Amino acid sequence: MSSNLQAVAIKPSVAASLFYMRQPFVPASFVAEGPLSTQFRAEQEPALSEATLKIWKKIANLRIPTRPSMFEAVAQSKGIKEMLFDATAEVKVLTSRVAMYLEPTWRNKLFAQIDSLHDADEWEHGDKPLQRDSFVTFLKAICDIKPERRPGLGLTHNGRLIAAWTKGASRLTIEFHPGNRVRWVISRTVDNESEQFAGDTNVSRLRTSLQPYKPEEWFAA
Amino acid sequence: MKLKRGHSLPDADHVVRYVPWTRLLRDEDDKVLGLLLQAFQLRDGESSLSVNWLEYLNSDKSTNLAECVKAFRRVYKCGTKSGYAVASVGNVKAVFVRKQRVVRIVYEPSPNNKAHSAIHAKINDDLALLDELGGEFYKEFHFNSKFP
Repeated sequence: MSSNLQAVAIKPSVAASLFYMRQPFVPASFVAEGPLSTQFRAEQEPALSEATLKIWKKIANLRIPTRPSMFEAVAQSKGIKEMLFDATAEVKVLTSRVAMYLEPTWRNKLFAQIDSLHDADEWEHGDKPLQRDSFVTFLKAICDIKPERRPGLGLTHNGRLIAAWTKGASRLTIEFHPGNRVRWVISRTVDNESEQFAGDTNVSRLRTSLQPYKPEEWFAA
Repeated sequence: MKLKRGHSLPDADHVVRYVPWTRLLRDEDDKVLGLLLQAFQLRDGESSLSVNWLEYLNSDKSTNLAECVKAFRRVYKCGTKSGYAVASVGNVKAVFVRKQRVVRIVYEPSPNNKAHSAIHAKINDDLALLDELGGEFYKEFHFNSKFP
């Protein structure tokens, strides 16, 4: 271990979990994103709970048999329905492997929402289906925050998942990016004036970065 | 009113933005509540937001809107759950002014869409602005299923 690890005094078990989280979501033959010391300099966030880290390790260790480049090439040659089916099946398999951390009703509703997003009758040419790396970031966020209220879901044109919680005139919108990044926006109306707050952070810091804005407004049942 | 290509649309006129199903703000039961800010993000390679000039035909609003819808349907899938968001040019520009951003809303007809116009502004990095734009456009929203 480098001196950087000793300087931040991270427990070895936490270090191992963070290492796994920064691995690309691909079969073992692919190279890791960077040396461990570099990863740790970037990951100097307040330590998450052991339970959350355990869940994240499980998510990060999920292995997909098909290489990304092969998947994309095959998708181009298939019809839209097959492409959408493959994409939704893939994320459902991902979800099922961490299903023990999601309530059954949550999971069933999530599947229904993903199906709705990938309705072939509504699908716009040129849009990408839900990208698995975006969905992995979403799973990490949900497993850490554990919101009681479920969000509405959307999809960017390039396949990134969007989750939005709305309460009256206020809403929280989060866009989930590959590589554990999230971008969020809060919109509220105060004294008949709208105000917005935005952030761009690692998913491990999402809960902390939202704290000043009282997110229980959206997350609590 | 006739405009030449590249001329700014009048503030009193309106623009219409097509919004697909996946970019609508929904609750967990898919009830539509608004527009996601992502409905206004530029795709890779795009330099402006595509909209239609509602008053291009200079007819009554109902006819103008129906013609806009026809034009969108020539370009997009336009499923039953997608829709069209209408906003005044002046109010759209006011959103950008509040965020201290430069914007131009200009007439840019295309061969299969004579009402095509464009919102020129650097906006993809400003999520708060996109969110407020969504709020402005959602003030008048029509589902595609409403039009024959």
